[in-house]
Amino acid sequence: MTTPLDDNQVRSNLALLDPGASVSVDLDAARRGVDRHISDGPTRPVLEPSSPRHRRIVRPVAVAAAIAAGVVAVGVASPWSGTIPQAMASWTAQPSPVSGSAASAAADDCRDLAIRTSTLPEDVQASTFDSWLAERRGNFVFTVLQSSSGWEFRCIVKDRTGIDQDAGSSPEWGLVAARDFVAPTSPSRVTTLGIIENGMRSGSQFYVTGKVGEDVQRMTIHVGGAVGDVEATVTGGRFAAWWPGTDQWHLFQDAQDPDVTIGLSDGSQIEGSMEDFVVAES
Amino acid sequence: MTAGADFEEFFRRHYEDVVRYAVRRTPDGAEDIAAEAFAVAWRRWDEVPAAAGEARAYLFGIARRLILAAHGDRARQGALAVRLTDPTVFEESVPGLESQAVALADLAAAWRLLRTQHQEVLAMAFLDDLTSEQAGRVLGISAIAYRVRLARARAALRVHLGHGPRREAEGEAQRASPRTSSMTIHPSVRPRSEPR
Repeated sequence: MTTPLDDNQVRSNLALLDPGASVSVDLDAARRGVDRHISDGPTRPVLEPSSPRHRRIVRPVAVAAAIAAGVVAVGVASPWSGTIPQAMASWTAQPSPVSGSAASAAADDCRDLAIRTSTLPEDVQASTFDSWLAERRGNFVFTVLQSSSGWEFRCIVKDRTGIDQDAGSSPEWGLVAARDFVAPTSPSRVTTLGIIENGMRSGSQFYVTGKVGEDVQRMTIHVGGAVGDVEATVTGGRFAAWWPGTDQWHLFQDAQDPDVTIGLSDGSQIEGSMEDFVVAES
Repeated sequence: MTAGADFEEFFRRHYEDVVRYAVRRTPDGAEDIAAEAFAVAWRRWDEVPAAAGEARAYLFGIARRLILAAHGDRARQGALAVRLTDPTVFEESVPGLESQAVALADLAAAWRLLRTQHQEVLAMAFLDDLTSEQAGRVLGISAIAYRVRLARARAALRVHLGHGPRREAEGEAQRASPRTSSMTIHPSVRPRSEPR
């Protein structure tokens, strides 16, 4: 079972291991050092703060060329090359619809969780959240709630047998200020805050939601390995998807930038990596 | 108060914090980084925030970019690794604190397994005592983007600390290093008090 991360304990233990704790400075000598730096002028370049990344969109012709050149197919070991935990064995890469009653039940459970665990501003009431998404993958219903002011809360509900979330350990995981999503600047674009990972009782999961332009009809996330190609739910100008972690993912340092294929209404496709569509970091 | 007097107060209030920030991220030249950061702030005095917390974050942002520039290729990912003191330095025994010594060793081992970006955002929250807004400003990202990164980093730390389900299932073999149950804590080292 997953246990909470005790922030106070982590903070106090990190303080013991803090190399900065032993710092002692002679302010007068340091002040003279600053004066020397001022009088000497800049000694090294100061990089400007990072700016939002430009999206790297590869048009269909380029994708075709890349495939023809064998560039796209990747067969190296990846965080997803292990196996999906048994508890998640029913998960499917393709989402399926959820009945009205099941969607309503999942939304109720998710709302309860948001009330109990989220760190919302005082003027935002989780009890008023509406569901904008309910999709099924195996035994799991992925529900995303949203407030009128743009807060978003995500849950995975396992067939009404209880929410599979380690409530209290990291309430932020399910909570996103969706109003901070940058709207796509063209009908064929996608924007997202990126993939979020979360440890749950049945293993780690990875989530991603975002906004899509009006021409975007499909979105496939090429996670690979045991997970394969994950088809996102695209509805109402938004997309959402999730997938389970494998028993290998934590051994890798760069597990969160899968390739993405976007299917447009005219039949063409756009390809990029997920990080290309992260545009809220500005 | 004159600009010179303001800068003097600004320097005396924040210098040690900037050195601490730099020491956590680079083993050498922390005072040089701090001095350069203040020199940059002097040259850009008009854009230095008036509020102390924001001014401190502004200085951290300059120091961060100076360290990134100094690291060159090692910083291509755009994130700074944050080092911790080797827990084996705690050699003297303090009766009753053996379990905390184990926790320190586990934390240090888990820390080494974290991605550089995760180390950096966790350190900003737990060591540098920055708010999400300030940390976002240091990194050049929004506060919400910082909080998303922090949530990811906390989840990763939890897993590496063995609090996640996978670790329990796979046992000690997944640990970065074996528990050091014989380790003890130096009596002179205690947690710092509340954040500055």
